[in-house]
Amino acid sequence: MSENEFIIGCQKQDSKIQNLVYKTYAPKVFGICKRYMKDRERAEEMAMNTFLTVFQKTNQFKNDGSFEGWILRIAVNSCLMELRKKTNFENEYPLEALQSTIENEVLGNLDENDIEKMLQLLPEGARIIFNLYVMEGYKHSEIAEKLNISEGTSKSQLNYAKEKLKKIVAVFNQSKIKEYGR
Amino acid sequence: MEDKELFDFFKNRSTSFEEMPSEALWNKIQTNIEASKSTTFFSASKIIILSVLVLATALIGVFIYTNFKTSIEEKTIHPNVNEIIEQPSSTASRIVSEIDTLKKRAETDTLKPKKAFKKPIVTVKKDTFMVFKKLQPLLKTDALKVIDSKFDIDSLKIKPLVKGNRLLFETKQLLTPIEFDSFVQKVLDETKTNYGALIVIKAKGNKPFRQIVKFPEKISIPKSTIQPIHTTTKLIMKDSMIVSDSIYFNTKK
Repeated sequence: MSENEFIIGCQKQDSKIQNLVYKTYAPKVFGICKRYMKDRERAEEMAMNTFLTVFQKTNQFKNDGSFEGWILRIAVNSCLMELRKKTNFENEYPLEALQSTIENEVLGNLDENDIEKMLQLLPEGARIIFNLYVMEGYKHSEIAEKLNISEGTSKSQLNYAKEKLKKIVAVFNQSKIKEYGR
Repeated sequence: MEDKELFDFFKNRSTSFEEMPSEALWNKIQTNIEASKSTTFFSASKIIILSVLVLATALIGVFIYTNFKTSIEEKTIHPNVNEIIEQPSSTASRIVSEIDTLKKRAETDTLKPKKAFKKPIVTVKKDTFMVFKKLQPLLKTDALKVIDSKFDIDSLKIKPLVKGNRLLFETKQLLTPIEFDSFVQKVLDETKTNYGALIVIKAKGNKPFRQIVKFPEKISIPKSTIQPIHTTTKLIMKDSMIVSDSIYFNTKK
């Protein structure tokens, strides 16, 4: 079924089409929500909010991009709306405290593709900004505008996320080498 | 590790996040959609009902106000007139008798000066009625005239006061605007042949009416009725006519 048929069906509030839209885009939407939210329950809640918004506001969709892109943008915005209320982006973390013994244990059990858990090791503010900058491709100015913070804060949080993730990946690689060496 | 390498590491593995949510989520979404649909319907019907109620209230309000206004207007004119017609004879005659007694007392009283009753303040005929002063502003001339049903415009036989070219018709009788109009019409009918005369009509309670009786612009005269006196010239009666007060004839000479 094409995107146009999805759009028309959603505009007519056709429940069959709505179900098809859900089945088609739910994995991606839920994936985004998982990246931003700390636990699955909250991620599911955000996914639900996303689809409700999509079904209620399909009339507002302008054909200047893909329907999928529009849905995913709604997913990101839903998560940000929720996180913006609770997250303090001004918190700064010392880089020395990046690697703890607990993290080492966690990393030891990580799979190569288990980036979900790697991202969970980041503080909330840093994780959100890393997601927006790296995964969604937003610029610092756009992130600052979206989260109502300064560009400097966005940059420093990204910097912290980068350094921490580099160390995590390095630890992961070392543990992998050791494993292969045995 | 370079920044780019790190970014690519995560970007390339971002699909690992994708996962179908639990079945219960779709049910939740569906329930919410239904709820919002019914809420929308309910709020829409609520708005419609409310607007209909407001409209009905407004209409009823307007209807009541109009009725109330009309009844007030009716009460202002008719009931008072009835009251005046019904009430008077006893009250009026009582007032008249009181005035008479006071008059007599004043005449017989030689000690006091008679000036107290030189001019009685109220003069009321026994067969008419009293119109109290405070009621007067409520009554228009027409309403007062309803009481005096004997009035007839033909009874106004007024001789005009002639002053040169001016005819003055004046009556001291109180006339309503309608009566004055018919009076004016009557006078104009009577004086329609007084060409050039200034007609002035005056009546109590009305603005004086002034009009000059105009000469007819053209009056055709039948050929046979007028013969020119002049015999030497051959005048043709063909186009004879009266213009103002002159008779014109066309001649070929």
